[in-house]
Amino acid sequence: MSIYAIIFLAIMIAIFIGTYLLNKNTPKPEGCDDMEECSACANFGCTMNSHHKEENN
Amino acid sequence: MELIGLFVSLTFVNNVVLSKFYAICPLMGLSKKPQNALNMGLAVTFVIFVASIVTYFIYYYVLVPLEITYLDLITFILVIASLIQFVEMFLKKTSPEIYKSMGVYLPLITTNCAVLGVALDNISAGYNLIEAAVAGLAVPIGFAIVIYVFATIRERLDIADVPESFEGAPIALITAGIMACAIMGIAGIV
Repeated sequence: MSIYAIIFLAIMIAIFIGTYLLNKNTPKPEGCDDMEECSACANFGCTMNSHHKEENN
Repeated sequence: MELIGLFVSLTFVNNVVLSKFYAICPLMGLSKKPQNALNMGLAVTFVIFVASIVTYFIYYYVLVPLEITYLDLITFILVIASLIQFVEMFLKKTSPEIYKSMGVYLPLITTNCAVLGVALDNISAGYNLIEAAVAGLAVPIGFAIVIYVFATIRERLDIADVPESFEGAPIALITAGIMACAIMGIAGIV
């Protein structure tokens, strides 16, 4: 693996972490707080699935 | 004319769901209500279109000059994940209404293999920028049409007299199979 590949991957990972943290720290608009209870699909891997809320309760 | 042919081909004949079997997970999971299916289709259309253009530039202007094209898969995964985080943040800041209707589907698109599939197919097919943009629009529109039609069929299936052992996922998969056969019927048009 060349040095360019390592640098490029590091930049890409840094961009992802940066956008993730920025998104996480951005407050949700008013009226969107209840979106954590989504039950649109049966994907239990999704953190928004209402299954997680039931688990916590 | 070639671009129109490409558009029709990718939307109907080589439909991403019914001929390549990408994005089966959202097809099965999000097709219980037509409105959910439509919202998911719109969110996927936006993300695939932007991802197709961004991945095109990264591949041809970064990976190819640096001779690290073997990193295309992991690069595209990171680009798509970052793009979705960015789009979600942008919608939170600028358009609460769109975020409310689309926001919940954005994290699900990260795991939608159609997004990655289109980015990789654009490269392997050797499309130029315009063709990649057309593909980035045609494929998700095909996905949105199929998932919406599938959702309306499933709504009718819920009230249909289906044998007990076929209720739920089995009859949905049979329906998807029949839809795939119907799509194959128009293969000779384009």
